[in-house]
Amino acid sequence: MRILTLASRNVRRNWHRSLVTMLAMAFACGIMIFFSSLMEGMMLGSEHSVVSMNMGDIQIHAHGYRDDPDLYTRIDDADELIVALEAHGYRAASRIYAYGLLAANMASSGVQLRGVDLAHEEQVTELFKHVDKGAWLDENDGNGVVLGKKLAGTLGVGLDDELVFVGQSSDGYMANDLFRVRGILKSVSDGIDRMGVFMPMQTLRDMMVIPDGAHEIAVIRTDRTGDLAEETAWVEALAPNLEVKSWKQLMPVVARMIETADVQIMIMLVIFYIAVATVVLNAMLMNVFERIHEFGIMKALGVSPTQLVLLVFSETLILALVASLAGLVSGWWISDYYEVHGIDMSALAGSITFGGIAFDPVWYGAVTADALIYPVAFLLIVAGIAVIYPAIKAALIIPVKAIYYR
Amino acid sequence: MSEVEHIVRMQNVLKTYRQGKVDVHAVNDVSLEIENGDFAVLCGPSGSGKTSILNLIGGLDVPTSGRVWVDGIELASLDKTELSTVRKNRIGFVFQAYNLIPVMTAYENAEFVLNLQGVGESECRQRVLQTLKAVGLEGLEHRRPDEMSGGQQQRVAIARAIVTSPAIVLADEPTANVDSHTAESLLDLMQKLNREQGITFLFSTHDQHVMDRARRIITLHDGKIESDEVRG
Amino acid sequence: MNLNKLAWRNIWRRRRRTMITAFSIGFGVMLAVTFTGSGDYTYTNMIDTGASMGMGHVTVEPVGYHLKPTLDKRLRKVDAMRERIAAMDGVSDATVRITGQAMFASARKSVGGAFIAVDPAFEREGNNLLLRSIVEGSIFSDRAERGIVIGSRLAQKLKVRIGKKIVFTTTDANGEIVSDIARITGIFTTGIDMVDGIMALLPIASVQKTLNYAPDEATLIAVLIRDQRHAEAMRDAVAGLPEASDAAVLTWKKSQPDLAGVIAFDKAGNYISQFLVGLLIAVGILNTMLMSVLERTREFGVMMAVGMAPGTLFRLVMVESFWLSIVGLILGVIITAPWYYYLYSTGIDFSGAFGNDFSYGGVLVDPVFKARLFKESVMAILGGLFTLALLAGIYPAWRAGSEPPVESLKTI
Repeated sequence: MRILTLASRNVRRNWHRSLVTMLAMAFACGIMIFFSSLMEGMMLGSEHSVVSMNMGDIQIHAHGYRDDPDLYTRIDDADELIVALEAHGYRAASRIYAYGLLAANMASSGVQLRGVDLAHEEQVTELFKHVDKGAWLDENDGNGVVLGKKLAGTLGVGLDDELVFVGQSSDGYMANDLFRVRGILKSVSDGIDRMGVFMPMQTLRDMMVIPDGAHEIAVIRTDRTGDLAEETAWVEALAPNLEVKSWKQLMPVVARMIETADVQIMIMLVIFYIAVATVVLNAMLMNVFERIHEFGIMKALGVSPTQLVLLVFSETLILALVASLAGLVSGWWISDYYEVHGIDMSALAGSITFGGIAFDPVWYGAVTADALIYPVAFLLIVAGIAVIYPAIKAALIIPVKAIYYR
Repeated sequence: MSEVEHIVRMQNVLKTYRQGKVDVHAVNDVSLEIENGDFAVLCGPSGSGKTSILNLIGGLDVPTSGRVWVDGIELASLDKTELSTVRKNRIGFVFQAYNLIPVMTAYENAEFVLNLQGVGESECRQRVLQTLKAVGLEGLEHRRPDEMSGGQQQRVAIARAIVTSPAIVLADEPTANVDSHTAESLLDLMQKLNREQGITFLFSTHDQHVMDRARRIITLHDGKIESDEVRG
Repeated sequence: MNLNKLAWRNIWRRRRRTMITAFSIGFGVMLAVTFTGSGDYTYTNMIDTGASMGMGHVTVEPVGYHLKPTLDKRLRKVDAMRERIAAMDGVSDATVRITGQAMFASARKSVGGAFIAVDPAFEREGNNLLLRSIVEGSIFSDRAERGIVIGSRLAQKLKVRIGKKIVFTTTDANGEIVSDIARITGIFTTGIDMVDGIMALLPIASVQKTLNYAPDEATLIAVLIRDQRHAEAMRDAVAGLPEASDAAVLTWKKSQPDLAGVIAFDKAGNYISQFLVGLLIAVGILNTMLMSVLERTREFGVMMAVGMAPGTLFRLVMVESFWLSIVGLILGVIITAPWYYYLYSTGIDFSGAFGNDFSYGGVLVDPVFKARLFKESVMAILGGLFTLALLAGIYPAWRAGSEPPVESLKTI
């Protein structure tokens, strides 16, 4: 291809300029890949924090429970429902809740008790892995409870300390019991951190006299690639007189934040590439300007304006391709490292909360196809646009003027 | 002006370049002296060494061996900054083309070296205007190079070269880029300056017009002096 | 012809190239102003809002309270201390408060929450977010009466309205469980679900009695200052007071670590992005200056031939860099001014995307994107870009001065 050969020779002619221009492009491309991978990682990590930590993909409640969490507003056939869900490939766990006062030596606090079905819960959420101090719940330790992080602080308790709970059971009597701190969680969400007390389901059933039924069923999909709205509707059909909602409906703020992450990536891309565009524009302008004489001769010899435009575009293409390759390799390499190791932000921020949900202080990137493709594609497009003006200038050269230029 | 007898003195000067695997002697054991007031020409075909000799005299290049004195100062003992000071104060240069700074006017170009020397505003003004008049550019002080003809540009270069009253003016092919009519008038000018103000000129050229005007012709071939004639 | 003039004329040799490079610098100014300005505005907003949520910019609290916030810990002689602090330079407000956990119960339900006991005489919308967010009724009028102001979601959960009575239960100074009754005088909605669902305001003198505190004892003094950037200095000043000798004095960074963390994180991201764009711009400047130097090799050769010292050539190119950055900065100011004015006064409304209830680090964030630059930030931006531009000029300037004239002159 004659034009390409000529183009590549021209690129080598002004080595300094080519190198600096390519450096700018590669740098921008690499940085954008890294940035995109971090944002993608954040999106995935956010969803993970919400879904896998505590909420599940879908939650089922009796109608009216969420607005007014009452002991008596229960899902009656919770177990059958769970069996049906599991048959379809989902994992589900039921939970029961109660409210009351928890007191330790010098302090007390209003708390939300959660009775956990240990065997099922482990398949749905990762709470059992999120213990900071001590250990997770054990069926055999009925009175060992796990507390939310801030609650432990407010009550001033540590592992093995004693707690007294006072509340009202379903049969109208005072329910109270003595508990021992078995574990303290890391930060999960505002609610759990401040007021969460976890115990084995049977313990709560006995204390609050709730022999059957559940207040909440958390459902998680094993195959998370499907359409969430569709699957939520399917579950809804399975449980016609219950309220079924997806996590996006339950936590709209976080859902929105994750959606806008894409926009943020776009904005950063545009900004970076505007800066790169000026470098490319200047470089190609000079490129053309310096060779006005040469182009004039070529035109006089019969090279068409189109061919000159192609030549200029080819030179830019070569620069951009080499640069995007360099950017891709370096960006991928860095992103890969941070996908595995993550950036430890705990020095900067102990915990980061968005819309009430705590996020992992270690920020992991995610090398997705999007993170790799968009920055490279954008670079090629921007370089192409930046060179239109210089290319047109080359095409419009009048041979006579050009040859005798200067 | 200078009181030294020989404005320029070269003794057994050698300048060698490496071209591939071969050593090329651009200047091959040249000894020569230029007197105060000379109007001399170095001539010879391309590659004969005339530009190299000019560069060595002008302190733009360093000999491989041998010694060079300009206005009594031996160049070998000087570092880069000292060399540039010698060029500033004692030598004037006129090149074949691209002598002038495009963004400066004729006046500003002519004044350039005086500025470097730190000469005061009013003295500068007086000397520059006088010199520009002497080279025939009165009235064109505010023109920029792209508003002047090739000949006019060379006149500005000459003005810049002489306004500092240098010991010698080195001119490398000063007429090569202009038509013969302009060349003649430039040479008229330089001869006049030489006669009336006693300015020493050393040219490097293969332009016959220049050789015709010269009082001393040094012919070079392959880096050696072939002949050194003084005419009447 | 002095160097400055010559340098100025030189950058205009290739007008288009200079303007493109100047534009990139101007673009950098616009970006920096937008992002730093929005940071300045948002962080200050968040910090001030956070400060009005109970702890102030600077908190005077009992030693050890930070780690274990139990109600047995209290400050003594708080009224004297408060007066002393309120009189200090830079303090806009100092209020005495008691903070703790409690159970709130109505006839229908009981819910866990937290209270802040205040003296209504000293509480204003400026220093108390909950007061500011009252949507129904008002705060109790006396520090010793039996009123209570609760969050709207808490009212919903308890199924109560203004005028109804609720019981609050907590542990007192000696660790005993105590209760008292209060009538709802006001309801607030901050927009943060957690706050609206658990918080309540109580009269301080009544709570002191309930908790068996002495009348001059309280949990903390919340100090609000005019300029949140001076929090650390204020903390040191307050800690130096004799009245505060056996108390712990903290800034909001310690008392609200979530907020501090989120701000630190955002700031870091913000500045890193700006730096990277700045680097790209610097590369553009380098390219432009380098090309302009390489084009003038012959000319520089002539200048050195006639006696200009290489150091002077270096300076010439550096001054050209200088002028280029000045032009860029001026262009930047011109294109940024109307944009900044728009962001300053109107801002971009993102409530469509984020809603009006977005909380970041536990504090409500204004969904309208605005920018308000601190003076220091302006200096930092201009100074930073200027320095970057000059640094970009170093290599080209060095190139200009280092080429031996005889080599440069050969290139005809």
